[in-house]
Amino acid sequence: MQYAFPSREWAVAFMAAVNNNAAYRQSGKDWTFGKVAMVIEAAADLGIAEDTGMLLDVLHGECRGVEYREGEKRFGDAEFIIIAPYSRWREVIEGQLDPIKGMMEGKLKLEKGHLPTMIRFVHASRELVSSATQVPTQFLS
Amino acid sequence: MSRRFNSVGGFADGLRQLLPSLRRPPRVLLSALGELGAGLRSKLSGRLGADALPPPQVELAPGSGGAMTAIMAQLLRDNLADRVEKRRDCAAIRGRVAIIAEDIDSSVTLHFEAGRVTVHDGIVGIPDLSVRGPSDLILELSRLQLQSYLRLPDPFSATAKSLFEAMRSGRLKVHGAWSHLPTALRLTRLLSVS
Repeated sequence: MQYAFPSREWAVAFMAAVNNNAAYRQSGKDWTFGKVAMVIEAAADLGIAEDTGMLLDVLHGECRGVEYREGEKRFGDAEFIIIAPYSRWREVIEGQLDPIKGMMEGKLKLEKGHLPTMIRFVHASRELVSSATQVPTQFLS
Repeated sequence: MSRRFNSVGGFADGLRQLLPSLRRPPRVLLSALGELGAGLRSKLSGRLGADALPPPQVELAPGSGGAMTAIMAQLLRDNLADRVEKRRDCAAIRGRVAIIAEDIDSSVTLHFEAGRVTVHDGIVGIPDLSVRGPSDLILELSRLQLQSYLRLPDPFSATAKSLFEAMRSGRLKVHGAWSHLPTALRLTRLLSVS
């Protein structure tokens, strides 16, 4: 079964993939720095009317919850907000774009958050992405 | 208190006075010892809050707005806002440092002068120190763990070992580190996120 990206179902499948990732549990075990939002920029041509994304409640290498947010809900309660166009997130989920390298190239933007902390947890970030690649995904065309 | 710090920091000067008979004083060794004293002093001052330096200004050069430039500026600002001892290191650096990420075809120059840092897109001027390699290794440099008291890179950490290996294999190249050893050590401390 494939999950449409973005959707609530995809977000839940992603959370399960994160919690099944032993490498993430290890690399993220010291993470106590708050929730992380992964936000897709609005794209009218893809039917994404407003910024959409998910809020990951991660702590000590575990994803305790995920909240899918569309349109009117903002991500101000996230400690870290990473925002990018749909095409970039697709590259990340397909494992073609390293998230940290993407930030250095300006393909993904850390809109909010403490950059040194992000760099400290670079391996955990990569494991989050690695978990995303495990989710059977149906992309918008 | 400041006399104590001066005596720690002036260790290298004292050693210079003790070695007049040497025809060519081992400058690299002396500067390393001086830097070791400075690291200890800066650690002490950070802990005691003796040097409540305001965060140095970090500015983007006019016309500079590349992604890597913005990332480096943000990393410096966040680190300087967090730690007093990093402010002291920043204030002590003079000169230009070029960082070249070959895989993403990006480079930045950090120009340190009088406690102020200007971050430029590309290589601007003649750098005193340059770091060239893939972006992931450049980022890895800022993950070098520092020893808790001397604040020098821990050579036995996994990150240090992987960086030494990258330098040995030529994937990561650092030019000017020996001739500008204090700058290299201060920069390592300044960019470190450990």
